[in-house]
Amino acid sequence: MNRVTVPIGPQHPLLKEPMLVLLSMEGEQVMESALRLGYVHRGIERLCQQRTYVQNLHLIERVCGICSHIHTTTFCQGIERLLEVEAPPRAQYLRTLLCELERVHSHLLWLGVLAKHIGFDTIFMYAWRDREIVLDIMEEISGGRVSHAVNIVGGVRIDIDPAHHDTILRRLDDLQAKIEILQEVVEHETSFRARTQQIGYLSSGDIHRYCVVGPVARASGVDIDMRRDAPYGIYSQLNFKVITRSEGDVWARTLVRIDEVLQSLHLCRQTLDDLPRGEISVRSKRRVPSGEVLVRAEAPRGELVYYIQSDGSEKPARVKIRTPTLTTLITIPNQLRGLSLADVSVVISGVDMCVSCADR
Amino acid sequence: MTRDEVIRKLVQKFPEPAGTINSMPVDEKVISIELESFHEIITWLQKETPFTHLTTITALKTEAGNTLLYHFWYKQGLTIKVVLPDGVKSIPSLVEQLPGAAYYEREVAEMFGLDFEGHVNLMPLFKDLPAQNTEEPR
Repeated sequence: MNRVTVPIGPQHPLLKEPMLVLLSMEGEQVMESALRLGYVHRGIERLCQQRTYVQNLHLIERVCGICSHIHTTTFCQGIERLLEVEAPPRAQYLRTLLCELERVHSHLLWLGVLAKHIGFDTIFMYAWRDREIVLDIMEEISGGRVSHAVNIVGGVRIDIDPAHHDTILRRLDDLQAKIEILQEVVEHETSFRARTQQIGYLSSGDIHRYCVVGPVARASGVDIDMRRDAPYGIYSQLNFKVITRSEGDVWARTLVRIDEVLQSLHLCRQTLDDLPRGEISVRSKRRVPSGEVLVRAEAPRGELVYYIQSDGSEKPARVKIRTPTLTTLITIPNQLRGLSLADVSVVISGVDMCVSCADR
Repeated sequence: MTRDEVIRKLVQKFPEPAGTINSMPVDEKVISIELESFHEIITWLQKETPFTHLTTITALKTEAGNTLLYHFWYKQGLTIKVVLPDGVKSIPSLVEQLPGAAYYEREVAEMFGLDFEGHVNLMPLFKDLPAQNTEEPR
């Protein structure tokens, strides 16, 4: 049978960000596929070398529009390590609160996108409606819905007042009830299962071979989570479960992410309940001493890594960013092989990719 | 096998200098190796130790020359550091043993002009894309 090449992208309704998936098809079946990235490559690593550390905070926040806070948190932790200062406990709790709210927001956004691509518009509408609750909370705390600019070297910029706690906690309870309904639907609804089960399968061997991280790895039974394995900030003092499943398909990834949302809400409550009093930032030296630091953190999509090298000047000598999406993109050709064209959208949205993160 | 055991065995087998990079919560151990023993050491790590997860490859331009840091992870971080001698632009690829290294190597090749011997598709990852989007997949 003749092979036909079907390009999906760089601009396509299936893709929220520009990239290109080239499918080599025989009839309805995908035989081979290849990815092409770089349509939103901004050269952020190089730009970091031309800016001071403080300017870089604002640049790095713009690596990703969904998980902007975890990028600055990771970067600040690295700089603080080089400066040998530690953010005060209250600042670390506030950072963690925002990290977990961001995880909830990211996973709900993804759930909506997946449901939309399956054609299950009810989940799409409900997930994005519920996501507004989190966005509102984040906006009240920081003033921004997606770019928060909360982190500074040595702490955070914004405090929350005690009167705000109760309203946040009340809305988190409301959100939890709504997410439990979504969980029930995803787990038992026949049409959702029919579109996602045994689609985009990755075995735990594939995960190890391709060095995949995050919810995609955990849905294939690989128990890896930097919040527990390399606890940074205050995660070692918090109580949470790392969710894993063994099925390895898009359905398992959905359930893992929904369970993670519930765990994140649990973490948000703990940070608000235990929020210590005190300063929210400490003053630090302006000049970062020479040295190098490698920071690993758990972004919504998995392990995020920053390597920062300082030569003692006011600008970093090298900043290397490894985002979790890059590890999952590489598995897409494997997941697509042999599937029908109708399932391509489920696989592509199922890995929860952030092209801006991957391209940098 | 823990990280310390791996490092002890590595230093016994291939007597190389060791160092650290600041990291959290435990510092990253760094083993500096020569380019000649690179392939053998990585194969040994992959086959006989649990350090099979490659986090990423960081490339640096230093006074000593192009430096590559291979960050591995198993409960703790272990970094293998290779400094390419003057004039050497090529290093063995890990793709055959570890397909997950493919994108990292493509990125380093593109940004630092290095060659990875044995990489089946060292096409640029982010820049210099062909203009046509209907070319055959590669």
